Amino acid sequence: MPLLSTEAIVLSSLRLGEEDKLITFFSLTRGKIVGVAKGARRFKNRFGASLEPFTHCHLVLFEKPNNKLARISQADILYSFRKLRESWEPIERGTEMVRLLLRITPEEQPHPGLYYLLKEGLTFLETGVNRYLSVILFTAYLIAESGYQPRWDHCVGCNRSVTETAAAPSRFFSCKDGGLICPRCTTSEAQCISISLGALTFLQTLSKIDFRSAHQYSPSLLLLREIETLLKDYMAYIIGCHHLLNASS
Amino acid sequence: MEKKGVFNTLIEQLMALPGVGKKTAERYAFFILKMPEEQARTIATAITDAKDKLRHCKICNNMTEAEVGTPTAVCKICANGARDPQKILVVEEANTLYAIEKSGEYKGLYHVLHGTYSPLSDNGHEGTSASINGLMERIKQGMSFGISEVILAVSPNIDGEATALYLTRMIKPFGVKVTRIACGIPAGSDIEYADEVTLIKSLEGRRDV
Ligand SMILES: [Zn+2]
Ligand SMILES: [Zn+2]
Repeated sequence: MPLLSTEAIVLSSLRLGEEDKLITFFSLTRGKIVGVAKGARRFKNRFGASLEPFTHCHLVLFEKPNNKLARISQADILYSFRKLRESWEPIERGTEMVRLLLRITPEEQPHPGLYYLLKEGLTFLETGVNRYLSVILFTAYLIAESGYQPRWDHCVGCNRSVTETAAAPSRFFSCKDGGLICPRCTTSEAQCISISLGALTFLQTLSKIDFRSAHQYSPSLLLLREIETLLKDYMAYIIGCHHLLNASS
Repeated sequence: MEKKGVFNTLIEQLMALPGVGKKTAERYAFFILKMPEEQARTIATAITDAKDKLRHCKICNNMTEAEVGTPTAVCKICANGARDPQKILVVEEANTLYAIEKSGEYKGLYHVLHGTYSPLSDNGHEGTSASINGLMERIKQGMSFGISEVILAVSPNIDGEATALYLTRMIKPFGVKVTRIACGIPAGSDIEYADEVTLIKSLEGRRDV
């Protein structure tokens, strides 16, 4: 029986029958994985709090051939992130991060970049300076790290620099093309979202710095709302494409 | 379709019980065959009676007996005038209620949620919204005789935590004291095997001795 030993972050925990739990992790060496924790619902069980969502743990899994579900043989807490589970806002925001990650990542594909992004994201949520900002930044970097970084400098149609087109009242983002699109290239069927200069400037800045440094900014609530909507629409488009791909393969 | 046969049907039905696999179901089936007929019929009747007569109490959602054909009923605890109506102990499932009742230590009333508010599952608190509404109704109505405390006996995991936070937010505006049962080292276990979260939680919940 092959053994998998890796550090991981617990994404979700579901009841499985009377005694077990089904745990989804994001692991450092194997990406998103699912495992069964036998007996984890029993009153006295060896897992304790190590399988609670957001927990950063060291994980040992047994994988049986012909059996899709691995069995969790050991989980030791490296950092519990317990404060995230003790009040309302961090639970909600943490859940939001986890949901986004769950939806965009395929199973069993190692992606250390995403792993460290999640860990940092949870750390920022725990310190709680601006959790709303943290979730939006997390979304932006999740998209970029997953390979969908939008083009914020040139039109995706004609490749003209946006500085040439910025003067035009219409600045649009095309989900389909994953970037800015100038009025000349906008077609009627393209799903375009209009984007303000402030939002564009902020998103351009983000593409040049890392997740941690991005937290030094404190954009207005209005700007954050706009960026949140834009990124969510783009995420929905990306995830929709994933589903189509999976359905056809 | 070929007929399955009475014996196989029995095995299959027994397998519907939690923790019963094919081997155990077979063992049970053979055991039932050897049983005096009277006893086997008693088991069968007990099962059908339970389904026919057991209802959720219309006040607290606890299991209770009702006449066949009556849609709702009030359980023995809610109907007992000697219980303290100023305290409501909220449990996720009825088995916690039974465990607490067995101790005989608690004299107040109960409310059974039949689940938790789970932020990580897609349906959130759909499963418990009716029972939570029921609890809020009780609190509103109970204002007249002064409900003094709502005790939350929920699991020390993220779903229990979210349920507690959600209920606290709903109940607090009514000026009712909300408490939560302690969380820490299980009785009868060894402290050296407790993980850091369990230890911190029990440290936070410490009391004077
Ligand atoms: Zn163009
Ligand atoms: Zn009752």
